[in-house]
Amino acid sequence: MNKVPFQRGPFFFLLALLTTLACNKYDEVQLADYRPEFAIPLLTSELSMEDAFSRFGDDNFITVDADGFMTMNYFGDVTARQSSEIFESIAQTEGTFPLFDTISALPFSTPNGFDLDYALINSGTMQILYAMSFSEPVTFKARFPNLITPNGEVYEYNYFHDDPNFPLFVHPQVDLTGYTLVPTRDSLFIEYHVLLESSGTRVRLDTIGLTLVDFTASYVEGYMGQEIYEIPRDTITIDFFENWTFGDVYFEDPQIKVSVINSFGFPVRSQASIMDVIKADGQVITLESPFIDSINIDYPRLDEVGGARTTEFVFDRSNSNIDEVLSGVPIALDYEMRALANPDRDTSIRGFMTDTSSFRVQVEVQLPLYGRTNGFVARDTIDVDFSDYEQVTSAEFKVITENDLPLELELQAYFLDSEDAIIDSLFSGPRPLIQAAEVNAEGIVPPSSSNEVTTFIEVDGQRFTNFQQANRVLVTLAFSSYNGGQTSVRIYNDQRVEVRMGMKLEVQQ
Amino acid sequence: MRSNLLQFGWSLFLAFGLLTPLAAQQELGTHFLRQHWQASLTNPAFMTEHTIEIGLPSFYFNSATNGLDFDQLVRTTVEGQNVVNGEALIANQSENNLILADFHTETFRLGLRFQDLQISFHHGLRFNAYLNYPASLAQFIFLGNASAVGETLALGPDIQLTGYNEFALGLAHRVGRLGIGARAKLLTGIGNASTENRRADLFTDEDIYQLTLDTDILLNTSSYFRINSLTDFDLQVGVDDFTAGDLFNSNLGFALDFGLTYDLSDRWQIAASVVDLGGIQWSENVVNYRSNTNLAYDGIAVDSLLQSASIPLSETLDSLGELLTFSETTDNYQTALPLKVYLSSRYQFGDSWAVGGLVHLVHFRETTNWALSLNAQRRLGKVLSLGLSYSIRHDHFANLGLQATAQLGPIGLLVMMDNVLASNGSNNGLSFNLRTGLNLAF
Repeated sequence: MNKVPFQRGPFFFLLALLTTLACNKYDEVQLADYRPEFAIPLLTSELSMEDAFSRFGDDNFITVDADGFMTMNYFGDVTARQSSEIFESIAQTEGTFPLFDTISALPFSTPNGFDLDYALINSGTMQILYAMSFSEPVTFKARFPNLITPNGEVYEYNYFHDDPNFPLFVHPQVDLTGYTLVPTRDSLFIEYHVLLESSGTRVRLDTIGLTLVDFTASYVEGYMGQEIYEIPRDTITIDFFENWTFGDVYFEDPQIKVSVINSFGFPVRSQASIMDVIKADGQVITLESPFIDSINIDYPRLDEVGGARTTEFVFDRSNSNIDEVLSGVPIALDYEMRALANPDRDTSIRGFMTDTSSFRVQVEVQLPLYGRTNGFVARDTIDVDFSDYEQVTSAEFKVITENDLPLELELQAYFLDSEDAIIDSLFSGPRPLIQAAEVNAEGIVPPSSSNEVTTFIEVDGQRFTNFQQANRVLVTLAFSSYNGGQTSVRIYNDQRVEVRMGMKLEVQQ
Repeated sequence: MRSNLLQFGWSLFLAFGLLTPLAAQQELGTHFLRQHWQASLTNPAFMTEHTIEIGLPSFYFNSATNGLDFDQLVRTTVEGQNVVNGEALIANQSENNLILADFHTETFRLGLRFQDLQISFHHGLRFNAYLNYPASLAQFIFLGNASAVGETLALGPDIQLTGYNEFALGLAHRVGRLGIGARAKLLTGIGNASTENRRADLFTDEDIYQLTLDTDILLNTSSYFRINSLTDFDLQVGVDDFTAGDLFNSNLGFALDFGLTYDLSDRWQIAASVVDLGGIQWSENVVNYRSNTNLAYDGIAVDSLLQSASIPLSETLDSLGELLTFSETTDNYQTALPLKVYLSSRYQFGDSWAVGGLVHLVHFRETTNWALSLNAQRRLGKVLSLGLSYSIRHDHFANLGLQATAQLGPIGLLVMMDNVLASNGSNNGLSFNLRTGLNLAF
């Protein structure tokens, strides 16, 4: 099978047709240097704002209201599960305690200001041990009025010794899991009796003790006292501006919504120790608001054990300097919060906590796309391959843009070689390519107000040769909102910009 | 840049060009060479004086256009190099442009005359090429489509490339003043490529030059042509490719020639004939290439230019290359031979001079071409005869023809050209033909 070379086609045509005329003029006819010019479509591209923003995050990144108005949302989520001092102090109630009388109180300690009503024991064991020397059988009885069995009864313990002569008798361990501790005046009392079999007389032991091991609680109820709960520091990254070079953006109505999900059963008040916005230029600006340290956080009541209550608070322009904080080019929100339990020290409020109680803090930065920008520049790099266009001697690109957006776009493209050195640029200077659609007083683009612009870009032979050496194109896009960035505009999800591009290529055959 | 549409267009020119002498048409001077059997090719009723005629290989070549001047097709650069003159091609072409070429060889001929009856047999090898291309095809190839934005370019050429054997048995008889003749011809096709439908319209939109290709193409081929893709095809045709195995095959056809002569007087004869009434049924190595689509290409759809990691430039060219594809079948098909009509009148002045006039029509592929010729012949002694003719053909008025015959004993030689001015390149190159012959006559 023979492939007919494209370039020699005309030559063969002439040779075959004209050499038969036996005329010298038609001997050795060559191809002329003709340069046809071909017009072909290159690409069509449509960019909706919803598509444009979708690449920056998951489905929750952009929300769209019923009118199609778009808002960027950035989320932070921190959970603090902190074991309270009360649980720690309860856990410290272990060891061997001597009983000096038939009614003794264990040194049950609680944090200052804590008033324990009762606690549900999660784990722990208890053992009684003593020494006896009696000549007749005795009955040992112990009673723990502050210790309630899972059946709801006061725990009592009886043991008959028929030969009560031993230096030390250790009773079997008692598993206290599921028992309820109801202290009396913050004390755990133990009552014991040793009854002589013959007479029923009560006698006291000289040596008797109580051992508690691994004593923990899973639920406590009472007045929890005042305590600071630390919520870990978190940073929300605002990646929308990751390709920013310079320029400013001003959002008309930004918000920071703080949601606290509280499963501790007592009142809490927020204390935001850190609420800073980090800018792209390195600036750090603190969010200021009279409410920053005074948000009262709701809490579940005694009949809502296991549940949680959510408190939401929104920082906006009316109660903070948020518009100043989130203007420019914010790239991160750095925050840290603390929760103050029982801020008013009201001992009449009987609360609870479990060993799984927690504070969950969700911070959401909301940037409604209503604002203005001027000269906001982003950069991106695109791979290109002109290797199939070696025979092109010049080109003219025709770019048609239809823009529903109230944003003007200035484009410049730099052609880079394999070393990322600039070979050439598309324009000698930035040129408006996509004009902004006109807006009304509310910053809304009226229907049928899209802006169509046709731009011709001529590239001569030398420049096209330069382009062919490029491996990548560095595209810089400068955005400005309508009216040179002076007018705030609203961005809706159905607004789109369509770019259609064709080209005329002069080809040397 | 790979321009596949462009390459396809060139392939058509190329196919035609490589099929060297091809395509049918107007042979005028031979009609007046009455002393040689070759004249009977134009009218089977013509009989010579000889009892036995043996025709040795005789050759005929013809090429013609209806607007393109071959002389203008090639120009000489300042450096002295001959190059294709694309600008002249564009400037001088018509809305529809014909390029025709014939190559005939009569390998052997035997004629036996019995008083007023003549029987003849000959074998001929025929290669015909016909190309009718629209002006916009050449425009597209040489200039591109950028100058035709908003317009539709018709790119589909009409082509027929045919090679066949002709085994002819003729019979001529004179009854009084009337002469009648007929010839039956068995045809065996060597190869063919012909378009049955040829619409290929390319529209370039003014928006961003979106392309719309509307095709209704049917290219029937037998042996000559294989298309693997728009840029990959196999062409195997031409005189050099003929072998003995091509004499007989299953591509069978049949044609008839009819002719009449009538002597109005001893010196004045009128004649009429119809030649090549018939065709060939192609069934060997047949492939039918079809394209019947309306394809639009709007460029590559990029999800988002501002988000793309690459600009798909190569995809544009690849997509263009896929714009035109062919489906293949193997259905037998028929082609018709160019039908020729000769109407002539000849007057003999004494023994030396004869003058004649000829109206010649060729009907082929829905096109009828005509020619008028005036001829004068003078016998110089017993050996030599010279003829001069003036013809009007293809709307061109400067065709000066020359015929020369010599009879050296039994050996007869002839040379005929209908447009001698084309041979030296000094005049128009719209048409050119040449016939040579060597006969033995007893």
